[in-house]
Amino acid sequence: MTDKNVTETLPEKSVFSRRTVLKSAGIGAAGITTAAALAACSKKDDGPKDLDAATVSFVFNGSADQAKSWDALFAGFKEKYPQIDFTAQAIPSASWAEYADTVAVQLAGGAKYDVLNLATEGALLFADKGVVLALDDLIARDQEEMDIALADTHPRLVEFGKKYGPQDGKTYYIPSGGMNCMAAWVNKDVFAKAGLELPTDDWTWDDFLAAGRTIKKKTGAFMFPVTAEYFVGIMPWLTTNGASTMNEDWTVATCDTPQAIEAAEFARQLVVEKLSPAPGGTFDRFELGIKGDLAVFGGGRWPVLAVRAANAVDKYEIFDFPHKGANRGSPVGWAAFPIMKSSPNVDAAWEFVKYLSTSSGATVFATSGGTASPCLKSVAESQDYLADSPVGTEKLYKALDYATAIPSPTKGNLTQRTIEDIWGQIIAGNIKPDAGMKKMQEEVTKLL
Amino acid sequence: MSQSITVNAKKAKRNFKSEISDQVANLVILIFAVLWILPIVWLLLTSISSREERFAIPPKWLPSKLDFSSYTRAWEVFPIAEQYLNSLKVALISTLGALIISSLAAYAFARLEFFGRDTLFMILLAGLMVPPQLTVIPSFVAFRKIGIIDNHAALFLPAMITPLGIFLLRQFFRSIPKELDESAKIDGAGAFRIFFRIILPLSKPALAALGVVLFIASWNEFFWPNIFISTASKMTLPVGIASLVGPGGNTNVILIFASVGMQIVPLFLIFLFTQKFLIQSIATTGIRG
Amino acid sequence: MPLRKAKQKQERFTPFLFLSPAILFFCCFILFPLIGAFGYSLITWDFFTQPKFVGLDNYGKLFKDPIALEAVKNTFIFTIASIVTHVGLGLILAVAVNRRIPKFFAYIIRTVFFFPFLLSWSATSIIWSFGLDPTFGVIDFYAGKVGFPQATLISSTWALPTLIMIDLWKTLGFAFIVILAGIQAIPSEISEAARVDGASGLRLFWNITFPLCTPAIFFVSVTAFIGAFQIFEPMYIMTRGGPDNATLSIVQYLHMSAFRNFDIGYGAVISVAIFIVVLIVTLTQFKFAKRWVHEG
Repeated sequence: MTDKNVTETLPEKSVFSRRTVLKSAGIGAAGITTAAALAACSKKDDGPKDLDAATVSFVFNGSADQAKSWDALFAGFKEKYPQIDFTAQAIPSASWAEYADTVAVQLAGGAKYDVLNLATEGALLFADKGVVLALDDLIARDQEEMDIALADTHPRLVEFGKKYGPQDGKTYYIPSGGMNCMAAWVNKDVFAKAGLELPTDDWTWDDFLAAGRTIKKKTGAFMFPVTAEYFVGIMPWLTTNGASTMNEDWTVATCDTPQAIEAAEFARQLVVEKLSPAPGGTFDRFELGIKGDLAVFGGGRWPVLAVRAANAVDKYEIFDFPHKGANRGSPVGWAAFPIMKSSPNVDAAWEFVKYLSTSSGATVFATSGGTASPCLKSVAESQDYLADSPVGTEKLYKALDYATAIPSPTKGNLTQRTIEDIWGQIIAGNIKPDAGMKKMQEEVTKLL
Repeated sequence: MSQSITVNAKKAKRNFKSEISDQVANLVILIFAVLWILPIVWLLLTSISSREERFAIPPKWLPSKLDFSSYTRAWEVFPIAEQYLNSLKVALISTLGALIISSLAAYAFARLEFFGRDTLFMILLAGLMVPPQLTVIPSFVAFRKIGIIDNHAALFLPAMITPLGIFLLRQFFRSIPKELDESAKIDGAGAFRIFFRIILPLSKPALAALGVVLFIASWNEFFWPNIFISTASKMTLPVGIASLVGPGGNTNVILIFASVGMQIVPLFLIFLFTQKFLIQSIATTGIRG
Repeated sequence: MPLRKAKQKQERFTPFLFLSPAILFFCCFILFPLIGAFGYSLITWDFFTQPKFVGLDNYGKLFKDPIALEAVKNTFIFTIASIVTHVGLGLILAVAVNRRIPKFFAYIIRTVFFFPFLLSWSATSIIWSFGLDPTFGVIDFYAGKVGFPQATLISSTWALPTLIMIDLWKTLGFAFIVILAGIQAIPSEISEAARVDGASGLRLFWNITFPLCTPAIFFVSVTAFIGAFQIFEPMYIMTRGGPDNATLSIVQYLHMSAFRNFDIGYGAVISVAIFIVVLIVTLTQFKFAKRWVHEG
């Protein structure tokens, strides 16, 4: 996740993942019971310790205008654990990679946090620096509760968490609070004004282009903002053509595959035909969209805050991202709430992580709009999440079925900078798409 | 006699010619001046335009109705008031500290005799050549040991030593007639008394000039606080405002415009009333900030 | 007698009392960090794991690093352009305002050209990055109307010149008033005498005004050098060094190495390099100054 506003959850490992396999094999409830029984045997009286006078400090990625959503979440925790002295700190960042950098600098500077909010971009960096705590013992202590949450989590998230977490056999990150996939937010008024039917979830790039041309001609509005943001502007076009920036293990760059080049060409074409505002600048896409000057913008859950603030929920409907040929696609990023190794308040911190990871916290966040979709299926299907949101919001969760994890290797902040820089020049026309993607391939390869 | 008449005639002719070229030059400068200030005017006008009118193509300059909602909302949403106070606090402490430390040292260099005075002065002055970029990494490591990362002390403590300030004040102190302190000495006054009773009061203009430029420099500082402060409520204004801007703009542009407006307008008003003093201070101290 | 001795002794300590705060702060925030930077340049460290001594390896890396080279190149272009434009335009403006013009007019000019100097780089960058948006930015719009290049911030050819222009917009006011103060300090008898001798316009400028305000010009070029060589904010906020590292400045590269890539040793090497360049250039400037700066 690239976006300012996305919030997600991370994965886990060993103990956990074995259970996942059981679960996906269909053992379900029986598995939970067995596991719970086992857990009860092994960890008898090791319940929550005395939490009086404990403190928890938490740091998260959020701008001031998203603070209300988070405050609601924190209020829920404070109500549940009034004895814990809880403090939270927002770090407004332009992207998840930048946020990870800021937090890393803070930690380098000696900041003492107990719990972090950390996205895919940054997860490996922090594990690499050895600052996050292995959660296996804590998970075992509350096996039952965690298993319920896990069973409710989308299996692909669980799988990604395992696959893309640190490979040392331990669990540092639990997929819990939120994730984001990309979908197309369609302004129905603009389509109507251009005399177009609303698209279907199965629309292709060609349909998209045709609609864009008609809209441009009939209303003068732009179709879509083509941008150089890794998660929001680049990965959607790559994934809807079966491409990505790296292979499945994030070890080899795949920026110059024919599909990836094709995606770059298509993005450039949208710019050439002036279906997108010219790239290389800074503008507010939500404002443009709500105003009717932009037919579609891409987004996960986070635009809901802007759309609600402008009373424009009814104007919008969410569709799957248009795709090329048979490949539907979307990037997915998720966030976790790791506990710091240096935390003196592990027990209280764990209570907070549990709160965030289970349905109680997720529900609060879903209701308040939040900046991410829930990881838990039950919450994603609930009215807490779907109410006061555009028609089609449930697709933001369903996209997990086919989504590609956003490639974020240990040096993800640097690969991201490179990818965004070169893509920006491709869409601006400073470099031909094929030459650009070849260059990207070279540069990214150097960093892996 | 005749010579002076020809000179006068020449002068008149030249005056007429230069009159025209003067007017042309004035016009050119005026055009440039308008262009120069337009970006700021555009930002301010956009910030009070309604959603329908702002960012129109072609640009619509004058809003048909004023809409201040972005200001109230930005004020609600961003910790601007806090950041104003932070900037004020850091700038005031830095400036006062720097003035005290510099004037004490400058006095010793200007008036007192001691071994190695000039050498020491040259060493301090050489500090001018040490850019903050060089000291930032070691300072970061040291500050974390004493626990002042993400703390305003990390901003104002290093700002209190300004070699240039010591230099300028020393020059100024030296321009104060020595007879003044000689006569005070005869009356039995010690160095401290002379410093506080004679030198400082006479140096008010120099101190004010130095103070104002140090204040501005601190107020606008970005490199250092951007590294040392990361909590929104502790940020100074420049860092706070920069943290709102993301690439590509998932950011709420109009709120950012409003918060920039909230910085520009008060600054401009203060500038209008203190222009002469401010410009003189900067011209005399020559600190670019 | 003993009283006098005590007083003498006290007086010997007096300078120290006056100087101790300055010396203390100088050591803590300039001298020790200076030494520290050299020390850190010899290790490899990421803030988190154990530091390792690597000798001069980091320096070797600097000389082979194409990105560092690019950053140095950009920074020098930026710096030279900055000095030339600030001195040139500052001088023109100062001369223009130093004529008999209406007071109010002079006031407007001073206000308009000087005010941007008081803005923070953040505010400046925000104004310009939105103003230069190729679709919705007002500056880009009118630039296109009069045939200037558009979408300049994403063009590897035009991004750096654009930042140079923005820097000029922000700090020209400083050069302008310092040079103006220099011109106004020229005793009016001198220029009057020259006028009586029939000197006017360009000749007056070259023979009188320019030589006599060389101290101010020199001063502006020194500060412009220091300011420009350490430029960081506009790249950091507006272009992030892109496109294709075309606007990456050396200080930004230092920031990237130390606080993004967590390569402390390498960051320290860059900081040492910056220090050495600033030192050499400033000393050279002062040395050559003797040849052309009028000493009044």
